[in-house]
Amino acid sequence: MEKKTFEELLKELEQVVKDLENKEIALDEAVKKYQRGLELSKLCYQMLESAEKLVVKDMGVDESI
Amino acid sequence: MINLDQYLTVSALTKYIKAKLEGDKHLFSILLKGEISNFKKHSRGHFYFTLKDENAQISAIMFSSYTTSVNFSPKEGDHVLVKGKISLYEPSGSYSIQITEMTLDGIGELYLKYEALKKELEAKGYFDQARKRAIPKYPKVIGVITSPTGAVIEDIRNTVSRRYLLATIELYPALVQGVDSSMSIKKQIERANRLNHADVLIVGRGGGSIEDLWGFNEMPAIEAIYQSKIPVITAIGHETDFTISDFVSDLRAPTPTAAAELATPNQKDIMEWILEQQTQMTYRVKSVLDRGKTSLVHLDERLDLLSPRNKFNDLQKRMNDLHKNLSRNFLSIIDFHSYRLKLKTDRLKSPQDKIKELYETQVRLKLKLQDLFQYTLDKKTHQYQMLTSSMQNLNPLTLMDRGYAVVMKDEKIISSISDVEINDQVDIRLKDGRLNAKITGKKA
Repeated sequence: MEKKTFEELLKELEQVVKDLENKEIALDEAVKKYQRGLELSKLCYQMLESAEKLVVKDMGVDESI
Repeated sequence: MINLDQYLTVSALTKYIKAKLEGDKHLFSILLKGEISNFKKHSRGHFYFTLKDENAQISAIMFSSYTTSVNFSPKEGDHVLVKGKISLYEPSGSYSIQITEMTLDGIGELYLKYEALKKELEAKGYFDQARKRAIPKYPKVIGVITSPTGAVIEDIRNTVSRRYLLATIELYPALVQGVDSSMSIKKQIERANRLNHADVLIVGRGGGSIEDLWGFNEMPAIEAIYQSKIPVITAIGHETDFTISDFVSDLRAPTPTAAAELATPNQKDIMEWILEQQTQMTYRVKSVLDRGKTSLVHLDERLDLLSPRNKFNDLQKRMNDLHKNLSRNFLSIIDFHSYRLKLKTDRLKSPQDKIKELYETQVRLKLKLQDLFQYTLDKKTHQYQMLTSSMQNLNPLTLMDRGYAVVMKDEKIISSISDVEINDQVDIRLKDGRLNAKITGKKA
């Protein structure tokens, strides 16, 4: 599993797509980026899909203040 | 002459005035607003004070049986709304209003305070758009500062549940109504900042009167929002309510539900976005490949131009020939080696076999020699007989046997009439001797 946060993964995905939009990109680079992009999108999608329940933590009150 | 009967006593007049005032249906139950001054609380619990405005004043009394329903501590300067009746106290000859209900005329006063504070803070730059921070798009932790029991936390929980399950909510319970609310809110905002778990804070409260929301117009809450290092979204009261906290916060939401929506992305949208990115990427890579393919075709065409197809065909033909030659050569090499092998194998035959073979050859040759000899003998014998027979026929003596003669002159055979002259002596040879004759004539 990647150590990156969901937001970082999404940002990387966005960058990959932007890179692919560059018409000057070399073919092997494009294929490499594409593979990474698919990996990222799958990962992000799975993170969203696997989240099932919202966690609500009651932090209470700090009486010492 | 003075008729004393025409004069009223003070008591009588006062009684009359009292009856007039207290009997007036308009003065029996009136609603009055004014500012409290000279407030005194009697030991028995009655309130004595004056109600005034800029130009007039009236004494006011509130008996202890009514004061228990007052939900604030009246003090000098409070603007109040009262309900009561006019009464006249005969011993002092003064009229007053006997109050049965009293509430703070908050709206007016609070509004003035609100306006003053708002103006002051605006001037100090508390509301500057430039200092408002962006709300993070994908929060990991959302800190919520509100009542732990109200609808606000439920609305936020439900909204976040529906939209973005990757976030965690941290609830910082606070008082959101009453004298201590502003301080309670301040403490929890500061605590959330100290713990520094949250990416965004929502400070929220449900709808209520201006008094209910007043804590959010007081400096502790305002200052805490102003100082917060974590971006703050406020959702206080109804959509139409604007507290000063709303002006200070980074983002004001009309309702707690809206605040939760502003604090979170919709994960369905993200999922759609992700799928869209996949399509985009596939499309982009495909077009890169297509571009590559196109230039490849182009290069191919150029290559065709530079190197004509027949050259290619020639090369192919040559290649085929070479291939054939190779096969052939290969086969002949095999043949050659087979032959050499055979020779070597033959040489390797045993001497006995060789002897046998030579012997057989000798026998065969001997037979052949005999045959040849016999044949030659037969042939020569035949030839001899033939020759003997021919010689027999050719012998002139044999011809003479059959009556032929040979004419000779000087031992030479005469074969023509020109060989002799008239009167020449000639010999005529017959089989048994000679005749001497003389030529007497020639006939041609």
